[in-house]
Amino acid sequence: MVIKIEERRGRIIIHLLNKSRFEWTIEPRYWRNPLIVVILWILLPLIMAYYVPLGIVGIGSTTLLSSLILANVIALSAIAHSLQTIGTGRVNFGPQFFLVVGGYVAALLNKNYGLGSELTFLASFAITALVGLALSPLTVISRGLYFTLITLVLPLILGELIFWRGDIFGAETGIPGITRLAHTGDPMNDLLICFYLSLAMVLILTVIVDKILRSRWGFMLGVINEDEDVASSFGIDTKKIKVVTFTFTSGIMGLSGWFIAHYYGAFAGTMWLEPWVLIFILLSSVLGGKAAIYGAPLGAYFIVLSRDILRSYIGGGYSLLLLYIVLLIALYLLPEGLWGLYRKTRYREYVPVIRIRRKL
Amino acid sequence: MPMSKKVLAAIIVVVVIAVVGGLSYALITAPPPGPTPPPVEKKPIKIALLYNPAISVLKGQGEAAKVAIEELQKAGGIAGYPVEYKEWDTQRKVDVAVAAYREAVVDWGAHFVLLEGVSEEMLALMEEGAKLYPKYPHILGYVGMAAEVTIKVMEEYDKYKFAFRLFDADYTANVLRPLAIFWEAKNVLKVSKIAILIEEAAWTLGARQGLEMTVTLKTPEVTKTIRISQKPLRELAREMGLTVVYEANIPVGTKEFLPFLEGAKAAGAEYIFVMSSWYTDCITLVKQWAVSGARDIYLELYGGPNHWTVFWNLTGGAALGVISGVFDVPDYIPISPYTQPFIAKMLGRGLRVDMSAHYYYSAVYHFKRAVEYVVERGGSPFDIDAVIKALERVPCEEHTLLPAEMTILGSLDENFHSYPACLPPHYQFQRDGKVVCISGIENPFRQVPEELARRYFHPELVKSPAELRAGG
Repeated sequence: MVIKIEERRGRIIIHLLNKSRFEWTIEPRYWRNPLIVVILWILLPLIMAYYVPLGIVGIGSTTLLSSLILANVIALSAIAHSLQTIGTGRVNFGPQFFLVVGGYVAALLNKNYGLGSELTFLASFAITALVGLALSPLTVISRGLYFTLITLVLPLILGELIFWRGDIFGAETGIPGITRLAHTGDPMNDLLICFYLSLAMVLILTVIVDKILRSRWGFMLGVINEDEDVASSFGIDTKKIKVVTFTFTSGIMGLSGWFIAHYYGAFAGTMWLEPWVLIFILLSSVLGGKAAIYGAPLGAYFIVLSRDILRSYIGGGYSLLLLYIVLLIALYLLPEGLWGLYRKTRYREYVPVIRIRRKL
Repeated sequence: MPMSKKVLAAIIVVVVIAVVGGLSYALITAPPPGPTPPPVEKKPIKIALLYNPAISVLKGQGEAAKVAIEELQKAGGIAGYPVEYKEWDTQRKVDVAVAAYREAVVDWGAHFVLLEGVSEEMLALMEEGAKLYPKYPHILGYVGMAAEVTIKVMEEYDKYKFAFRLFDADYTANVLRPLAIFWEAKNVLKVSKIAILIEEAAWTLGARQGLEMTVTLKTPEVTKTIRISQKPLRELAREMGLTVVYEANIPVGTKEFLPFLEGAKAAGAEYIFVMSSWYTDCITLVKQWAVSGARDIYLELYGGPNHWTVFWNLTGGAALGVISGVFDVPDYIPISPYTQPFIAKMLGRGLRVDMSAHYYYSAVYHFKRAVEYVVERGGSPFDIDAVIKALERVPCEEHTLLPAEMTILGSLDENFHSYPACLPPHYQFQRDGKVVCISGIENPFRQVPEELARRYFHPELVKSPAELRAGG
C-alpha cells in the first residue's frame, strides 16, 4: 500500500511507501497557535499591499513590504546564528561576513558567468558553507573572548579585500546589474513574490532547525551548549558536531547574501559588512528570545519595523538614536526576549524550545 | 376620523408655499451662471529628495536642493504648475534607500527623485528604477562618482534612460581636473618634484591603474562606439613636465598618514597631491602634515571637508597653506547670477557648501528648464519621456559652477547623461583662515571667463607653508 493512515495515542500517523512516516497530533492546542501565526504571516503582506493606505502607520505599503522582506533576510541569518550559537557553544560576531561571501558568490557568478538565480542559490550555499568549513576549526581551537574576537575581525579582513581587489569586487561601488528575482512588470507583484520567497526560506529553515533541535542531534547540540567538556565525557564527538553546525549555518547565512544580491539587483559588500547588520542579526536572536528559534523572526520583525516606522515619523539622526534606546530598554525589560512574553502566558502549551542554559 | 376639507386645504396651501418659497430661495441664492467654469487647480509637479540628514555633508547637499525647490515654490512653481516636495531619510543604507525610493515613486507619485547618497545606493536605485519606470515614469538624479552609473545608461538606454548623473563622469573629471591642478603646481607654485597619494576606492581605480574600455552608446536615434581612456595620475603629471618622486595608495578609513607624508619628504617632493574624497579623513591628514617633516611641502587636497571655508576651524588652523577647491567663499566667482546668492543663502542657514551642494542646487533648476521646454512646445510636464529628451537637450543657465554651454546632459560622448568635467579654481588657506584664489589666469584648462578670471584670480598671492607660518 502506498499510503497507510492510522490513529494511535492521540495522533494521526501517515505511512508513505512503508518508508517515511508523518505524524499529526490531533489535540488542537499543539498546533493551533503556530498555524494561526503562519496564516497571519502569509496574509500580512497582502493586507499591507492592498488594504493599508499611505499614512496609517506613517509609511507606505511599498515601504512596509520592503521592511518585511528585509526582516525575513535578517531572520534567516538570525535563525542560522541561533543554531550556530547552540551547536558550537560560541557566539559568532561576524555573521555578516558569511552573508557578504554568499552575496558576492551570487553576484560574481551571475555577472561574469551568466548563472541564473537557481544555480547561484546552490553555489552561494555551497561556497559559503565551504568557507565555513575552512574556518570551522576555529570552533575547536578557540572559545570565549578569543572566538568572539576572531569572528569580529573576519568582516574587517573581507572589507579590506573588497577595496584591495576593487577590480573584482567593485570596492565601495559593488557589482550592479545582477538578475532580479522577480520581474513581472508590476512592482507591487514583484515585491509580493520577493516577500513570499523570503518567507518560504525562513519557514523552511525554521522547520528544518526545529526538526534538528528535536532530534537526537539536537540533544547533543544542547549538551555541547551546556558544557562542552561534559559532552565529551559522555562520548559525544563535539568536534564533528561543531564543525558540521558551523559549516551548515554559514551556508544558510550565505543564502541571505544570495537573496540580497538578486533582490536588489546590485551588491556592495561594504554596505552589508557595516556594524548595523551584525547588530540586527544578534539582536534578532537575543531580543527575539535568547536564541529561541521562533523568537528570531519575531525579533527581526520588531527591529526592522521599529526602525522604519521611527524613521518615517521622526527622521533625521534622531530616529536611529531612538531605535537603539528602544532596543536597549527592550533588552533590559525582556530578559527572555519577545518570545518569552508569549511563553510566559502559555507555559503549558507545547512549543519546542531549547530548555537548557546557554552561554550567551 | 376623516380629515375636514378645511384642514386638507390648509395643508395643501402650506406645502405649495413651502415648495414655491424654497425653490425661489434656492434660485435667489444660487450663483449666477458664468461664462467660465471655476478654475481647475493644476496637478503639482512632485520632487522627492532622498538623503541622510544625520551626516552633515549629506545634509548640506540635501538642503541645497531644498533651497532651489523653495525658490521655485516662491516663484509660483514651474511653467505654472505648483511644485510639491517631500523628503525621505535613507540612513545611507541601500535597503532603506530602495524602500524610500519605492515609496516616493509608487505611493507618493514623484516625478523627479534626487538621491543624495553614495554610488552603491544609486546603482541599487537604478536597478529598482528600471522596474518602476514602465508603470511609474519618473526621473532619477544623482550627484556623485561611479563610472558604472553613466556607462549603464549608455549601454542600456531603454532600460536606464530615466537615470541622470548630474555631475561629471569620473573618467573625464579625473583626467582634466588633475591636469588643471598639475598646471597650477608647475606654473603657479613653481614646483617640479611631486608626490601623489591616492585614496584606494573604486572611483580612483583609473587614476591608480589607468583605464581603457570601449562602450557602445545605444539610443533610439544613435548607435556609437565610444572609447574611454584614462591615464594614471603619474603619467598625467609626467606629461605636464613634473617628476613624480613618490606615489602611494591611502587605505580607506586610515588615520595614519605620517608614513606617507614622511615618505614624500624623504623622496624630495616639493608638492603633495592627495586624491581624496569624503572617505579620507582629510582633517586628520592635515593635522599630521602640519607637525610632520613634510609641513614645508605644498599640500593639495582634492575632495572632502576642505571644500568648506570652515575647514580652517575644523583643523584648528593646521590647514595654513593647504590648497584646495573651496566652494563656499562668499565672493566665489559668479559663474551665473545664482552662484553668490545661493552660497549666501546656505551660509545664512548655517549650512556649508561643497562642490556637490552646488550641483544639487543646480540640478533642480535643470529639471525646471526641461519642464519649461516641454510645456513651451505644448507638451505636458508629466510626459516624462519628453522631459528626459528635454534634459538631454536643454542647457541650465542657472548652474552655479558650470558655464551654461557646458551643461548639456545629452552629448553623444563619454559624458552622456552626465556633465563635462568641472575645473574649479584653486584656493589657499592663509593666515587667520583667509581663503585666497590662487589660480593662474593663463591656465589652458580654465573654464572661468577671462574677464572674471582677471578680477578674481590672484596667483601672485600664493605663499609657501613656511612663509605663512613665519607670519607672511
